[in-house]
Amino acid sequence: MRKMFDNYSDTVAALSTPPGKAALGLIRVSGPETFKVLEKIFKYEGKRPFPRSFSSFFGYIVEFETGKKLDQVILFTYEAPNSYTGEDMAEISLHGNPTIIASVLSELFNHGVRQAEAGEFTKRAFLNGKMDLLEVEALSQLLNAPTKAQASMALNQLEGLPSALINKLREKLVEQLVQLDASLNFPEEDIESLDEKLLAHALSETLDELQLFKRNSQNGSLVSGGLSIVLAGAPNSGKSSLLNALLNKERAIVTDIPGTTRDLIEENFQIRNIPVRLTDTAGIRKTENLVESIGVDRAKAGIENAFMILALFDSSEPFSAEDSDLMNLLESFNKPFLCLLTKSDLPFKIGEEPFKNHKTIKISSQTGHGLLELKDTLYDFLKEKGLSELENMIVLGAKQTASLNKAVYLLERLLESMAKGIYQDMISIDLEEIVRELGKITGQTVDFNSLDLIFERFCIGK
Amino acid sequence: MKNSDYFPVIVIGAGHAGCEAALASARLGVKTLLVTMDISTIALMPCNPSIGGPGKGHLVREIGALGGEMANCVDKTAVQMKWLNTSKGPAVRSRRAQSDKIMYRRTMTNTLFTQDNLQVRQGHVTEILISHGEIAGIRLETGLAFSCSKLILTSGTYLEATIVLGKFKWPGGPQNSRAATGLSESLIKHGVALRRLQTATPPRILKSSIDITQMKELPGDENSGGFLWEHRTDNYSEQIPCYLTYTNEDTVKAVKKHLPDSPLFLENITDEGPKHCPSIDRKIMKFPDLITHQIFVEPEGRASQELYLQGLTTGMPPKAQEDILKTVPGLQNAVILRYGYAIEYDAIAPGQFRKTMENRVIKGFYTAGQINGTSGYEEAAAQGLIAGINAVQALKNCEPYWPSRTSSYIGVLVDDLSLWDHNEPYRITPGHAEFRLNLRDDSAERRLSEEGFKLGLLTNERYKHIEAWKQKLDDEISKLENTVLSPAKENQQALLALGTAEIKKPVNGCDLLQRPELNYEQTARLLNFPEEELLKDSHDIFCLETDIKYRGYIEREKERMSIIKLFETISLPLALSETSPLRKVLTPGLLSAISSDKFDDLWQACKHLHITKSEMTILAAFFSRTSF
Ligand SMILES: Cc1cc2nc3c(=O)[nH]c(=O)nc-3n(C[C@H](O)[C@H](O)[C@H](O)COP(=O)(O)OP(=O)(O)OC[C@H]3O[C@@H](n4cnc5c(N)ncnc54)[C@H](O)[C@@H]3O)c2cc1C
Ligand SMILES: Nc1nc2c(ncn2[C@@H]2O[C@H](COP(=O)(O)OP(=O)(O)OP(=O)(O)O)[C@@H](O)[C@H]2O)c(=O)[nH]1
Ligand SMILES: [Mg+2]
Repeated sequence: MRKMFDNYSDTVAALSTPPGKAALGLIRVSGPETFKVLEKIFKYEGKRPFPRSFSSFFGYIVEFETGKKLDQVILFTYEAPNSYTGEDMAEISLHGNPTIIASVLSELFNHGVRQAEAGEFTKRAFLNGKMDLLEVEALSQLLNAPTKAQASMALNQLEGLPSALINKLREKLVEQLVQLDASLNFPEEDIESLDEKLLAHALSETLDELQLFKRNSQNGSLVSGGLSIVLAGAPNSGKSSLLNALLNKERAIVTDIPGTTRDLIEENFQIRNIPVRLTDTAGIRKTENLVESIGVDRAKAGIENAFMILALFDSSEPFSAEDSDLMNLLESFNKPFLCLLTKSDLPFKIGEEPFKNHKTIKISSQTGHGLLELKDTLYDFLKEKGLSELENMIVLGAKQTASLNKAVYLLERLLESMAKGIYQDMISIDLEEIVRELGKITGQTVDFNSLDLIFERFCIGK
Repeated sequence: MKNSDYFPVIVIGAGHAGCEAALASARLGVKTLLVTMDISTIALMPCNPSIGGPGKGHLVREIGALGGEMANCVDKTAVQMKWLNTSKGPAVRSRRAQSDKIMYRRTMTNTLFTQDNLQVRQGHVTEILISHGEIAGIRLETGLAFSCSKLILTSGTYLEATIVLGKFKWPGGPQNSRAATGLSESLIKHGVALRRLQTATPPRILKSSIDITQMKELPGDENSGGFLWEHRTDNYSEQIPCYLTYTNEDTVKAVKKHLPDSPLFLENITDEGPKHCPSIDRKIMKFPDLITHQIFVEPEGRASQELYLQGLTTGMPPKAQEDILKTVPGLQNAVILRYGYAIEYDAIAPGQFRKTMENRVIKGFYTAGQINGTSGYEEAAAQGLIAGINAVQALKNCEPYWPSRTSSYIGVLVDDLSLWDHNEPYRITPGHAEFRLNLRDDSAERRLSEEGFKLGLLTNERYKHIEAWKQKLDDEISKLENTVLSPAKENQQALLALGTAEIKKPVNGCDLLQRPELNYEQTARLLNFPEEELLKDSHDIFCLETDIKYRGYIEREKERMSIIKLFETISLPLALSETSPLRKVLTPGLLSAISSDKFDDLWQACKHLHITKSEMTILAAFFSRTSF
């Protein structure tokens, strides 16, 4: 992998656990001065030589000037290139007290160590050839992954499967390009000239695989954010009760007063292995109350941005004007929705007529009736959309997605023009661009500053 | 020193770089001295007797369009001309000439001797003279000295050259000439860093000793036209063919048997040779399983009895060369006239010269040609031309000149070369030019002649003719652009009859012509152009069609090209003020790059630091405002 301009001659440090969360803190130090600085401020008992490689030491961080002990710590050391960043590196495990952490960091900074920028450790790792861009991308997802399933998806990514696939496709094209360019640049050499039929065949195979990859990444980005499922319905139809019943905890306030919920309440949930975000909304109705009317607007916006909608109708009441408004609203949205006829433990008054064109499920949040059927229906629906095969899903950053889309577009265009007949000099230029875009996905020809953007999304240290 | 010993510009060496440099300088009105070791070897081709091919042929076209001499000289002396890559597209299509080495030398020598402002002198330069860090003159081995303001050194493969043949080694230049000794030491003394490079050449054999019935004859194309615009539709009759034969298992055996005597094996020569023309020993060492290699048998000239064996380059000893030839069909009884040999020579170390070819250490000192780490006659000539132009521009206190890499192979060459840092000589190919679809053989005049005219290298007369021709094509293109075909029923039928799709809305002639399946004549007829107004000349039609068919691509690349062009004009180092907003915008790497002397311009710095397109766009917005 590309070595950078001598950018990283300095040593950096940062707290790598998110501030305020943990009882223990971990400070990472990386760069050529790491051991030199630590020799000054890390004191330990015994006669073992200062640790350099893959060892842990129990001791103290001291104030260099005064010798005052700042904290009792465990020090882990890693010698270049066998470290996460590929540089000399140390991890200081210490107590999570913010004042202690601040004083240890400032002791490091007094010795010429610099505060690491967001994502800098991973960036150094990348630049030292320790990981490729897809792995970096996955790591960022992992750190922000809200549910277990998403975390496992992100972990899949770290194993480098998608980057291996992209690299394989890219290499295949590179092979073709090399062949083509050789014959264009050196026509008098004994080089087989390009077989355009073979090339077209290889290109359309690549296109197929890329399109599958693209679908998987589209699904991946849908799922990695958590598929948004919105609960909508007239006031008092039982939305908050359903949310609580599904989550199995008292998340939303439930009263018999219509208009109780006034803002969006979002919770992570899993339908079997598929991570979703359930959103409870304010009941939709015309209201004079300012706060409630803002809530109603947000509810409508929530519906607009949702992946799918659960529409709730109180089945113990006749079909109301508000119910009918909701029905019209949903029909105008062109989004998948499922009609839930709530409070099935009470007498059925709403009638089948209004739902004759729609799938309905009768549920009761109180007795739990129909909740299993609801989950199964949702699962089947998501599965049909190809969203259940998490192991195939890929999560790409915005830049990588753009490159992927561009590569697909360029391939389609190239195949089209080849069918009409274009010269090989043009094929070569197009192919070169496709290879460049594919390279960008795994970071092979990525430019320094596009990296900056990706690394900015990391929390400090990793 | 006497006044008559002063020349504003002195050129050392009359190889392909030196000839162009000296001619450019003299043609720009500057009194110029050309000193070369042996007047009878002016413009010698010490290796293959051919000029052109993809990339190289483009350079020759551009040299002609910019007002250099090589194109003219090749055209006048070629014994064969042919097109290569015709089926692979106009952007990689290129002419290749078999040159008459003797006639080429004579013709170029005459051109030099009859050029106003130019004096040619035989002499062996052993020292450069420096005063206050600037070039001041030269001294010859005879003790004679000349003073100058600008010096262009084009010593090719001669500096401290060593000939290597098997285990034997002796000081000497190409074709049994002397090596240039002493000058390297003088250069080093004044801070110029050098490195060793090597190359090699195949044996030459007696024409009457080969059997052409065992080889494939390769004729030229009669109507290929020449490189110079004025010769574009010339006919070349009475061409001489080349022949093609192949190595076989016996050849490989013979090479393997003698490998222990190869300089590569003996390691008595540097390994820094051209990877694009490896010696036969290197080929066999690298690809031991490959049996058939092509061997082109090429005439050295119309009246010459010598043949050149392209593909059999080697520095192996005479016995090895004889044994190898015996195995090749048609060459079994070949009589060797000159043995192949390898040569090792001093070249300028990477990063030492600018795009103008001026040295970074010594002001007023330029180097061009093989000494700059290239190989090939065409690359040498192109650099010579640029060095000659810039010596004069500097002399006249005018802006330095180099063509943009977005608009010429010469631009690609000088840009790549000033940052070239590899263990081998540089050779131009279309692959180096990312905008090669724009840098086509047919568009050389469109891209460069105006610049050549402004510099003063194209005469009024010549420029007027080229302009009139360009205008004629431009007029026809606007006519196509401004004429629209309506989707009327009879038009649709006409389209279908031509095997192309119907149109949904009115479409102009250029858009129609962009369809691969339509040509100019069909389009013009569809649009009902009057018969008598149609372009008739097939070369004109080719240029017009190509221009239009490649427009879409050039449109796509326009933004990138204009950014690069803008950045090429921002010379480095930049002195940024303390408060310059750029300090906040640029990354530390780029900031230090633009204030160092390492790069010629902002584009080079961006390229070297892998600045992304989007970042470049931000920078471009910054730099397109006047103050920074
Ligand atoms: C053995 C050999 C093999 C080659 N093989 C290849 C090949 O495979 N492919 C390829 O593309 N190219 C090859 N070439 C290179 C090709 O010949 C050169 O690229 C081209 O000639 C370079 O042009 P030039 O003007 O830089 O130098 P040259 O053509 O070498 O001219 C240099 C001139 O400078 C003069 N000179 C040098 N020093 C002094 C001095 N101190 N005082 C006065 N005059 C001086 C010389 O007399 C000569 O006239 C080969 C050359 C040789 C010798
Ligand atoms: N019997 C019965 N009552 C229910 C059921 N679900 C909800 N309710 C009652 O219906 C009333 C309204 O329930 P909520 O969950 O607050 O309804 P909501 O749709 O969130 O109402 P708003 O937030 O006001 O829009 C409460 O009194 C609940 O106890 C159910 O399944 N059976
Ligand atoms: Mg509620």
